[in-house]
Amino acid sequence: MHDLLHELDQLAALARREAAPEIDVLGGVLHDIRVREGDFGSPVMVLVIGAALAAGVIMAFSIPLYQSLTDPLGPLFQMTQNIPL
Amino acid sequence: MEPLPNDEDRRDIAASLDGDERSFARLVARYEGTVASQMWRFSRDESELESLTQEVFVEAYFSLPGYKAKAPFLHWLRRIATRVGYRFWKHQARERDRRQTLDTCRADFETSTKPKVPSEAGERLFGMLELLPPKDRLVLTLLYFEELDTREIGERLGWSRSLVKVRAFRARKKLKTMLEDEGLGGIGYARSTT
Repeated sequence: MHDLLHELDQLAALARREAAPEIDVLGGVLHDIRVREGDFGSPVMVLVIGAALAAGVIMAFSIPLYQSLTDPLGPLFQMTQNIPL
Repeated sequence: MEPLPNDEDRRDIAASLDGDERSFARLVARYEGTVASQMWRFSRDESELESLTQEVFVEAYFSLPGYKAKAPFLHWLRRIATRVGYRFWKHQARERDRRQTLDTCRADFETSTKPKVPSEAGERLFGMLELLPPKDRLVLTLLYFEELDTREIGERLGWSRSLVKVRAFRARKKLKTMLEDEGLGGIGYARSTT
């Protein structure tokens, strides 16, 4: 029972001496950073921001229009309120 | 108390924060070997190793404003590397077929004897730890591969020392039970010494 854990310790001692393969990630890192930093200026982001602004403007006009559609007599009653009795 | 970052790192970090790409490139060049060695414990696939190491530095770059310089830069980098590796395992664990891992481990035991060179030992140990759930695997990886003590593991993971002790004890027990249940009760060292 104890032996297996002891063997694991011995295996680990040998495994620790293993060197990782040599790699060069500098180019990839700088490329990724540039891509992520440039996200706000990318054509896709410009399109997304433009679409969001347009949607906001449409919403601002359509909400009062929608309210008048759901209550078609509302403006009439509003007008009659100004008639002196 | 841990030593502060060295002057070279401090200068490069400050310049990187000011947007100097060459300074960050120097930090990458200085530490990519060390980070790659650490990520090799999370994946033994070379292309994955490259993308994991890359991810560590990209995450470090965008987290740089949060670096408080209260500990060496490498310690901070290692914590990010551990987080990236752990995230990779969790993602992998969702897709992995546990039975297949066990079969691979069994094949390793049946076809090979006592590992003689570090790469064989690394491969074997990696395969065994792969049987465990990500949290247990992480504790034993830091314990076995990086030879950290419970205090250092606690610092790296943001856990208490007692939690690390309990987790490590249970993980070792779990691993032993799994290997014994599958009839993989020996690694070869005991046999070779008798």
